[in-house]
Amino acid sequence: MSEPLPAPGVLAFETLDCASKVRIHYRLSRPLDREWLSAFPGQLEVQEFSRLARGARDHLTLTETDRWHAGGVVGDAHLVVTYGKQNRERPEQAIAVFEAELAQACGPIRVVGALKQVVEDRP
Amino acid sequence: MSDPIPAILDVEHRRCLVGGEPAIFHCHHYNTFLQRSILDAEDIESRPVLIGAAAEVAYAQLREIFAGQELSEVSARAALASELYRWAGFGVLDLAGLSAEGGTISSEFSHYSLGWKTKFGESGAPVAFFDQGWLAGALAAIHDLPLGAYSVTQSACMATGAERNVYTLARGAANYELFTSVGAGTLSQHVPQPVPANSVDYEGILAAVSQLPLIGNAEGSIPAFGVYLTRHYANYYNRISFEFERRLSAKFGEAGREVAEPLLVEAGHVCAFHTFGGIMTSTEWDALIRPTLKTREDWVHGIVAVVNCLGWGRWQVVEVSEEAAEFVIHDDYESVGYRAMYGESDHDVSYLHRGGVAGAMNLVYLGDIANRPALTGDYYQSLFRGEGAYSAECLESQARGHAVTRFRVTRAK
Repeated sequence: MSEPLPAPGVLAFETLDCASKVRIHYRLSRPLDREWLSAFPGQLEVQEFSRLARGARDHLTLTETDRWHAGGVVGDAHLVVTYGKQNRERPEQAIAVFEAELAQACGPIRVVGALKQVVEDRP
Repeated sequence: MSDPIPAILDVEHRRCLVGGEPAIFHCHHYNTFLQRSILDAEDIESRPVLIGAAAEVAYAQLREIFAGQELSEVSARAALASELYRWAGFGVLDLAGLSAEGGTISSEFSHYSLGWKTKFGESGAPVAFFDQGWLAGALAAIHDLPLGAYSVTQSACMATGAERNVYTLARGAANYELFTSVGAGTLSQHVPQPVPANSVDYEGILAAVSQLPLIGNAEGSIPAFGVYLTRHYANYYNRISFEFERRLSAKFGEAGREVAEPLLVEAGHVCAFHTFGGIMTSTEWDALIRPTLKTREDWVHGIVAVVNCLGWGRWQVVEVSEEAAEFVIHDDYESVGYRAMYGESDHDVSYLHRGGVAGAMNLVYLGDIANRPALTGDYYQSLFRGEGAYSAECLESQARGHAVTRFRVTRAK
């Protein structure tokens, strides 16, 4: 749960998911919404949790088979993207393609050293 | 076109049936850890049980689905079986390459093989015992043959570094144990108990998660809630866990059970740490559940609400604080399965659940999961083996004849 960055740009923190795939947390300079993510390659889906559970917010996923699976809360600036296949080499090309799209929408990407710099949890 | 996989949600009991088999969600951490725990006990030969248990459930399930859909053509049956395997998140298997005599097929996607390699590194020998048994059971069902009509071997495995898994099936004596599925078992009349005030919308979360498309993708994996899920078989877990315990007990008496029990509970801890931890740090959690959470007790209610979507039975947390908690579980799948397989037990058998309830408390109160710690091996050790870890005691057990299964979770002094 992060507010958008005050200036154009993206903060990125890289880790591995539990199947050793590259997972990158991005903090964006604009809130996630269906409209601008629909320009990205892949299948965009919105889970309308707010219609089903009290107090819930909507969630979106963007999936490009074999290349990436992205998820985030609609209206937040935190996007989590898991890249590539399990037990394969680092998917440099997929990362480059996705980050080029991100940079075009939000500005330059800067790698940071801690997840806390990307996700600002509200108390 | 209607969904070819007939998943029936039993909301009342918080369970799901697919072809008469209770289907439950678990991730590769639990699947591979449980298998390795069982294999590590070298005093008993568990491979024929691991394969046989998978053959048991695949055979029973597919026979029921084929009959329900009046599906008699072999190619259509093989296609549906392949689809079921992918749908459930086990990987990709094309059974069209097998005939009534058997044959050899390969796969580049296997939940067990890839999961094992990811979790433990390369193995010295093939590990896809579930896949082997599932294939043997499925092929027998496809050709209307008795369970055990095929032998099965695995000659290559991605867990050993191979590029793909290779399986060979042949008509002849089964080289695994034969079990008869007990199906859904006997469920109780639910009487949910009062729970403390909290901010979690249990019913809304159940409705929301039930509508998620939690089915295998093109690679036969289900990435959701930050982990890789499978829509597995309760009767598989029960068979391999209880046979493990019973065989150790038969060989070593009470000492055998004393070896099995902590290993099975440990598998529950591993499940809680990775699956619950993954869920509570996922973007789905951030959207669906986190916005309403106000206290740490709410976090416990939140994860219990999600567990109620996994098909494990109905979990309730009837008391919770940093000091202690009490969980009531209606129709936990371990108790239901044990009674159906072996009759009433003289001891509690809900090992996964026992590890799970303690794990939830460890994550929330000790692990500070709200601040998204990295779920590493070292962190697991510090949480579950460090000072002040929570542990669970089973106060009542449906396997022993009680109305519910009840756990008291307390923190070590």
